[in-house]
Amino acid sequence: MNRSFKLVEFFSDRKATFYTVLFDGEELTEGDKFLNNEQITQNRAFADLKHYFFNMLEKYGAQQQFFKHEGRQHDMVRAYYVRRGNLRWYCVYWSREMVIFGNGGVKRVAKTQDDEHLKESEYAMRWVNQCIEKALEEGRFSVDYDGKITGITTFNAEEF
Amino acid sequence: MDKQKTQQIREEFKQLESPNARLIDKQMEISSQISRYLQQQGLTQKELAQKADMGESQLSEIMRGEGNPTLKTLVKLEEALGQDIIVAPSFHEEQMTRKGFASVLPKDRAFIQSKEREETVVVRVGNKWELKRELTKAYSEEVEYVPGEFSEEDNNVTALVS
Repeated sequence: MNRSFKLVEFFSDRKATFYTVLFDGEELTEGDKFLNNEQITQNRAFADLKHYFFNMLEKYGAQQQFFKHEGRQHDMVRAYYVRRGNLRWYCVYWSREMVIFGNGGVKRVAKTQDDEHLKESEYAMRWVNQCIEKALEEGRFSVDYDGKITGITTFNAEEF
Repeated sequence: MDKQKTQQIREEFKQLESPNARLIDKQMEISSQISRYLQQQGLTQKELAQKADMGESQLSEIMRGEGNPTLKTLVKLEEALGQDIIVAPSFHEEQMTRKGFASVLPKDRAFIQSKEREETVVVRVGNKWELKRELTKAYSEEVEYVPGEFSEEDNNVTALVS
């Protein structure tokens, strides 16, 4: 999954800016793939997820407690999830003002590793996290107080 | 990137309406309120669960904005935090006015209140606050606000008892 990618704005409002990831050669961003996945759009909790999602953008910000830690210890990989429909939406959680959403799905297995699609979605976000952390160390990546990325948004795989 | 397809997907997502919208709003409000108190008091969720004598997973569900706590559970949390989590708007309004805060009613409503011997009343006429009259007895009334029709006898004002 070590592919070049761009961070593109997904949705933005008063309380937060959400980004998503466009991998090289793809027509859709990871976030749009999630929203275009029939398994997800037909899920009984999909409309609820939309309401939570826009409430974060407009009213509450992306408060940490709404996200579940899913990656490795100390990284920023989380899953936004609605338990009622077993929905998992992987992301890199930066702050209350900024989150980068990837892909995800419906979790029907005990361990994410047992579902190839979920595993891929999570690992993709681990890669994004790894690149951002490196860019951060090098002073090439930053986010301003209202959640807008001010550093690089294009990440070439060779550099990371 | 396929911009047209992307736009269509996002537009469809925006149009979705949840039948649980109001419930979700309340769940997120409660979660945000507790989260604010936790930060103010330097408490963790685990510590709050212990203080409130409730399961960590139950609190975690509430904090994720997915819980459906009973009033009894909320009261336990309020006691543990020493703060209100839920308030009834009209009683809250009355309390705030009594404490000397300006009324925060909708535009078409006004609220006048005083206690015995509290005689100086500042009233709002349009955008201005003016010292208008003295009240000599307990007085509390919510009235309709009719812009431009204020007179000395009218109650069409928002009042702050000093």
